[in-house]
Amino acid sequence: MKIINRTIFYVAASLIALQFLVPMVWMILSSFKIDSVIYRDISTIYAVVPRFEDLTLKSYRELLSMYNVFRNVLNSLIYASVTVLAGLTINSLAGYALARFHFPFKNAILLFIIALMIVPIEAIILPLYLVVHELGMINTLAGYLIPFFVNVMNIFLFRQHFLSFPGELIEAAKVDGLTEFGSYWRIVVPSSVPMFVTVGILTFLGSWNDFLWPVMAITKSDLMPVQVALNAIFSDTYKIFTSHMMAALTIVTLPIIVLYAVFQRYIIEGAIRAGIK
Amino acid sequence: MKKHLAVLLAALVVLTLLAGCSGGGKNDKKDTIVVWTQASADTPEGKMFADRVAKYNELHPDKPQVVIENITRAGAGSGYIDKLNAAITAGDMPDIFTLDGPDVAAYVEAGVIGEVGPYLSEGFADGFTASILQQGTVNGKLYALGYTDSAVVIMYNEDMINALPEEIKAKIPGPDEDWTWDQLLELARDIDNYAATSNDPAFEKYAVAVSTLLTDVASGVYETGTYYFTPLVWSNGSNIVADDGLTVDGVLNSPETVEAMTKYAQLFAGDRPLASASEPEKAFHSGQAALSVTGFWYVNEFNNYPDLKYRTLRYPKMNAQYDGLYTPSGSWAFVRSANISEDRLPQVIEVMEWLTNDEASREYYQKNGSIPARINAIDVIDTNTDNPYFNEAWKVMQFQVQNRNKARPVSVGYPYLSETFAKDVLLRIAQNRATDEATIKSYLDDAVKKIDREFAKYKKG
Repeated sequence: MKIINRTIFYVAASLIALQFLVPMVWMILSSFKIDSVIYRDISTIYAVVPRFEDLTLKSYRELLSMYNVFRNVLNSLIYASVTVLAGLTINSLAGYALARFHFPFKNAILLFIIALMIVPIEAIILPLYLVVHELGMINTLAGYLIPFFVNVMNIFLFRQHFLSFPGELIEAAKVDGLTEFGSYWRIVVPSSVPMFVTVGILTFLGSWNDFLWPVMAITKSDLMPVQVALNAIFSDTYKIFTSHMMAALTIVTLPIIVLYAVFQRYIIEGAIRAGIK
Repeated sequence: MKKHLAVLLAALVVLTLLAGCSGGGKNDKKDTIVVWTQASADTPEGKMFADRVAKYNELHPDKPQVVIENITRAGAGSGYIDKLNAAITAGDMPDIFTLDGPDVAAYVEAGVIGEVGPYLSEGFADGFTASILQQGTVNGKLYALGYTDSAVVIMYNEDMINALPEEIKAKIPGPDEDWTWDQLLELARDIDNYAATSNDPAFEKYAVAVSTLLTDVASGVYETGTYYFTPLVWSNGSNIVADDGLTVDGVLNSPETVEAMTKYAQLFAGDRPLASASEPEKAFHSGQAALSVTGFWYVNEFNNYPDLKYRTLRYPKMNAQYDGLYTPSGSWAFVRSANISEDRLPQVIEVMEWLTNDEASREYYQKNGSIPARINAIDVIDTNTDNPYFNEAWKVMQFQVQNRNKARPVSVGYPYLSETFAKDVLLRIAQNRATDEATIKSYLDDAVKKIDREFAKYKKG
């Protein structure tokens, strides 16, 4: 009976995994085909099973001769990294304060932060543009990046995590002479790596996938992040076809796959911890 | 403590660097003319505008220089339109910017774009094709100068047609002949009947008689449906909205519109429908459809399908006797801000003319394949290449652009009108495979009610 149950479990899990993997395999394989082959194979098993005689680097050669996708990938890596570093610092400190300190209106502030979580970015994009415009920061990287350093969802996640952090450890650190910030930096942060990685990856993905705000905030093409570049490439109906799109998507997806592969353990651990409290 | 200080200093350095990486900030509008386009700088369309502007600046060093800013759009225009609307709200509009043809009326109504007609050089407006002028005209005044046009034709797969019996082949008109939807439906039915029993290799991958791109509409790109199929209504003497841009009752559900839509519904009739809202991707390109309602951009895409032999026919009329304009047309156009002072206006207009004149039209075709919006530039399309299929396609499209193209309706509520017509009429008919006149009339009546409710806010008094 146990064997049957395990078999059913693995078959079901494999089928679910396939559902997620097949589109990605199709994307990657299609990036190595020409358009006529992509659509010849689309409703056959060869959409996801390679026939090596059909594979070519033509779409990559043509795409990279027209668009400097790697520059956009590099831009996004830099923007996402800066946002992650600044975001982790600011949001974890805010979350720590809300979890450990006692100050007036703490609950009201927490309630306000939770309420802000339901406001979609589309609802605030216009006021945000007006504020950044008034500050004279449109078309600057500061205007593009700084508004997204603070993230109420991440503050809430950190606050939930720090609530379950053993207070005795912090007290012991203070007895040993550490300041409030010192005990946060030397005791709390090293013990919360999975949480930081989880929030870091969520922040990274948010920055990586952002399209609307970079379009609003910056216009210089050499500063464009990858999602804006993708839309630009896709809007080129003159020289860009399906195989080029698949090549661009493959290039853009690879860093995310690597990120998940490297931090997989922490992501699961962090997600579980964040949900405990 | 030193460590904390170092972290603080590092943070300050990063922020300073970020603040320093300025893209130039606001332009001094006294010294420059700012142009916004929806084409990204790296695309062929973006580069053609950049080249054109660079040439202007080079030839006019003594005049205020033109600065072009490329704002990426996604899909129908979001991203670019969001940024444009935000800039309008912030009072930071560019002097000149691009708009999709059907959106012009809404911006006129909002008072954010200014008329250009009276300020153009003598005869300049006459150089545009009729449909491009129609597209840019609101309440009898010219606001938008189109820089490119578009075209939709019917194509057929030559290998498939060659496999047909002679009596069916004889039903195909010549590329320089008008024909009707009745003829197209009859031809499609004959092809489908033949395909049902044929073992001919040309029909090996056959899936559907007519590719209609309704898959776009099903996936939310509603404008494709309106763009492709409003001509059925036009060429039956009706429209989807009255000339005032707001009245749909008695127009969208008129007997002529019902008749046209009932004919369109025949594509989805019977046990073997001739078309489908879920047709395979690139059905015509990959030999799965014998006929195709085809946008001009397909011709370029066919370079990736070397085995495809495509032939081109004119877009059919609904009523053979109809002699007005009726084929799909239109694209993006340049407009100007309404807030330009009298002293700057002449140069702004000069730049708009520079961006849309005959020479620009020719350059845009050569660099981006944009169909010229100017009558004198249409001959830039070389129809004597060594590719006979290409030549035929462009000859037919040239003819339509010059003689048959009609602009989409001018209405402040066009986006809603277009979406409702495509989704609640065209797609509904296709998905429900409704073919009887009474049901189709009820779909049109429902659409009229929805649009009327939405348009109430535009109707004054």
